[in-house]
Amino acid sequence: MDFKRSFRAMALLMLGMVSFTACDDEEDDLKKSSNKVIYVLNEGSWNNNNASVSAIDPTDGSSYYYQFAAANGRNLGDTGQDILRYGGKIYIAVSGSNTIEVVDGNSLTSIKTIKPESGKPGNPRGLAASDGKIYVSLYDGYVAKIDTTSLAFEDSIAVGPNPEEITIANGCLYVAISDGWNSGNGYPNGKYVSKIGLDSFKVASKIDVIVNPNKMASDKSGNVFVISWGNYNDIPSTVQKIDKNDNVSVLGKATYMTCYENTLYTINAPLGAPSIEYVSYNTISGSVESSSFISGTADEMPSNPTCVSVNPKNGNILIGSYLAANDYLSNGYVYEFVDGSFKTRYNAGVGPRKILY
Amino acid sequence: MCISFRAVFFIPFMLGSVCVAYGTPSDSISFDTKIDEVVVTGKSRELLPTTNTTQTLCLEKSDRLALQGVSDAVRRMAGAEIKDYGGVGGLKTVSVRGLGAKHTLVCYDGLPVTDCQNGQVDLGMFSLDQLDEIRLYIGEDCDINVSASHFASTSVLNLMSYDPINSDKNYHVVAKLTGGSFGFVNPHLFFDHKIGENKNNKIKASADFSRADGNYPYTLTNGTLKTEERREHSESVCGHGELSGRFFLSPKTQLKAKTHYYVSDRELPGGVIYYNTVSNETLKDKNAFAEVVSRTDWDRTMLIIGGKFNWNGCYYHDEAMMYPGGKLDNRYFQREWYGTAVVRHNFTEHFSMANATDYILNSFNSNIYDCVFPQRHTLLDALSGKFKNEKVTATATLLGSFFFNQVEIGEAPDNYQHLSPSIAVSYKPFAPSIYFRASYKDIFRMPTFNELYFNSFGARTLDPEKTKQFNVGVSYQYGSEERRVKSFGISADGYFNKVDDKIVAMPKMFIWSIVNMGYVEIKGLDFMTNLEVKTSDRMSLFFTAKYAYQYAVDLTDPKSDIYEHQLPYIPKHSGNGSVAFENPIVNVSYNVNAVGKRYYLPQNIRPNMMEAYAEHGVSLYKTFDFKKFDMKLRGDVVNLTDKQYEVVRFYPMPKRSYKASVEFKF
Repeated sequence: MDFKRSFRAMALLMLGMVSFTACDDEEDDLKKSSNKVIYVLNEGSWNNNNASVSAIDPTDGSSYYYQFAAANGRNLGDTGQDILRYGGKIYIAVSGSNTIEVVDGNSLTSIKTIKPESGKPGNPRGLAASDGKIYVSLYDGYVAKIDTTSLAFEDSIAVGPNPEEITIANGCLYVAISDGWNSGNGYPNGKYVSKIGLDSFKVASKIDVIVNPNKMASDKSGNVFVISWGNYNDIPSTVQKIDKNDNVSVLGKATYMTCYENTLYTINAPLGAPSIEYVSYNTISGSVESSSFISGTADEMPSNPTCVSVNPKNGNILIGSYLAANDYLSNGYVYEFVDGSFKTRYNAGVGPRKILY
Repeated sequence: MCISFRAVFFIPFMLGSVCVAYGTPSDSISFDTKIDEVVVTGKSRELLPTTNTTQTLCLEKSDRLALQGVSDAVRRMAGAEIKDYGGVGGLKTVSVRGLGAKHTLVCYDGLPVTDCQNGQVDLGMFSLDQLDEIRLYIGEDCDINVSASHFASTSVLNLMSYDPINSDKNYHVVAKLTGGSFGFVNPHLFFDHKIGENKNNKIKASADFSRADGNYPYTLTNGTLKTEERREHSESVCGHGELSGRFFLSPKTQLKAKTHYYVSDRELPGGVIYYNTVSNETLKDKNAFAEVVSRTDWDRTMLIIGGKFNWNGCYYHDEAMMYPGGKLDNRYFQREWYGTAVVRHNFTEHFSMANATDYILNSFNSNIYDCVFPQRHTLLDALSGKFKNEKVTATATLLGSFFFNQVEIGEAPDNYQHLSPSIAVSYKPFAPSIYFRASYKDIFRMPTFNELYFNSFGARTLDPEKTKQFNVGVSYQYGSEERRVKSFGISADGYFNKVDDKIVAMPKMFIWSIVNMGYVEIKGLDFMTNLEVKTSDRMSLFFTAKYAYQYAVDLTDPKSDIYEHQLPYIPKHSGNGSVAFENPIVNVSYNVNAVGKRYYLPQNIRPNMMEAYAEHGVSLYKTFDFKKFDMKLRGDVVNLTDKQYEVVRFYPMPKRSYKASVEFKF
């Protein structure tokens, strides 16, 4: 009797507790863009698996999140580094996930996920393409060559510790060697750019630059630009020009840049800086073209820039930004400027890093 | 990358607990005044708050709650939430009422367990076998017999070590062996013995060891892709040993001394990274402390003097091709000297005052390149008054805090001083046990050494994180040994917390952004009930339930996209409950822990959302009384429904697992 009653009471109480679990309403935000759009690679926040490809549509000002996930049903992964269009395909380097995603250039549908073998050099960072080959810097100290037909690693070469971005000019690959994990000892091996002959695939020269080189760019005349991030202390982030003969000259302070025709657009926004500078240089002469190539009210300007880019179709300047000065975790924006004036602001993912036309 | 480093910070200290009566009149010797609470609920004192928000969980009868560990016990308490990185070796920290783990002071036997580097304590370093009682203080308490550090935190979690009282016996021995899924083995030993003529003088020794492979299977969901994976690289080994004693130097003065050593060696699987689950990280922790406390009771005056030295060593190792030389070896060492003096005088039958002074010296060194070898001197002085009669209990405290910073390299952060008031009132209007209570506390937490010195950025200019806590509550308690309903209690608290100058640390590649930003408000409701019914002579039903509502939002910038967004990891709705049926055949208990949806990043968008879940568990237990000893058998099914869930995003929790134990008490 008592046993029975006890169990009945217990069962009732259990039932009450089980039904206590909350329910959630579903919403749909994996909408695929339909028009011809501009893709944005969003780095995401470290260890949060939230790298993404978003899209913006300048014709109507709309934006679309998570285009890679919408096309493939799975997420891009952790820490998106670089995105490149070559042939009919798009290549995406995802460092934390240790993958190079190869997707269709229009639909973003996955063609192959290239993954360095376990125990072999990995951590893809920067991408460049030439003559049917994709070059990728691997943070483990290498540059690898990928054949665009077989989509497999073909060759690799040791370049120095913790290489970052790469660019191609003068028949050579220029690789920024940062030694980023050795900051404790002052980046002893992070003070040069490795120059690799594309034909020989061998290191042709090491070009000395300011400590901790990271960003690379080049123009059509063979001028190469490198931003060294310095030591976050007494050596500031600095943009330098490397000419065809490996001569290095300092242009000014900068943290982000892009080359468009004969203009180098730079942003100087080091962590904690009170103001952000937008300086453009002539790539041939190295002289300042504009000391403030965009301007606007506080609401019209990026609060925490992450990249700068020029739309080759119309010369408009696009600048990526985190949500706010101290917010590295929320979805950010891409700002568009026409002739230096604010035009519009698009939504983007966390940390827009590269813009792909 | 410092997320797994065990940590701790502040330093309060209250000595005894009511679980222990030292042979002298019980209420005078204990450090606090919860005696009335004990009387109300009889021996089976459960979680319910009464004159204040303080809750006590006595572990003697905890089988009926089917507790799976210290962190599981703590999350049964109103206002407490646990962050759990999964598995035996996964970091477990407690946060109270949405304020974050760094605001909760963890004490062991009344003395603080601290970590000046990270500011939070891994509850995984304690096991339930070691403990008698867990007590949680929230905001201002009605208790003034405590150390100054106690007043210097928003909440205090006090763990009291196992201390059996049986005047007939000269010694106690406990031997227990627990085993479970994924290679879990945990032997435990306890021994105490009386010393000399005075039956209250004794020495105690305890030791335990645990190991686990921790390589449990889990389901990884990545978009629409679901794969079955295994949590590799999760082996953990840890152990602890403790020796303590209690001696009466005179009828009025007792002395307690303790030494403690803890060591753990863990593989860290890390968060799950899509497409790349390789991890080579390991972490070794060592902790040693020694402490002495004396307490003297005169007629109307009480004096406590105590001191402690604490040492922590943390050894982190990782291997990857990208590191210089292919590996990373970071070592972190901290030392803490702690001293406290508390004096209380009862001026009248109803009015008493106390002054508590604490001095703390923290120092830290490391082999990492930017270590600046910081030191911090902390001086805390709390002056408090208490009025108590049959209906009203009221306390008011003024805490003065002084912090002096030193570094060997570069410039030290500014020194800091502050006056913090707090007040609590409770009212018991009628004879039945109905309590109304209200409290207010204004307090702050200093930035941790990691926050101040982690890299060479401007974080040394960080301000303390300030909090204000308001609470009103009511509870009803009923208890009777004769009736069918032996006890029934119900309690509800509404609270409002404000956090200003919130310290936010975000990794940005190799650099960290650590800033004071943000204003946060938390409005919440804590509800709790328990019930004990005697269904027949030898059968009883026990029921407990807790529910928490939290509206915790970022109110920093009205123009921001995350304005009024719910803070990360704080569900609006959460709760748990347990039912136990004790009978002559085999006792059975069931529990469920349910957590509503929440977000793992500040922005409340769907990709950042974590699904609601409920985790169920069942436990069977039975004690056999033999002539010379007791034997207890217990078996548990944890996560009965095989639910895949996460407490911390990308740290999957184990699905269904099993545990069994056998315990002998002599």
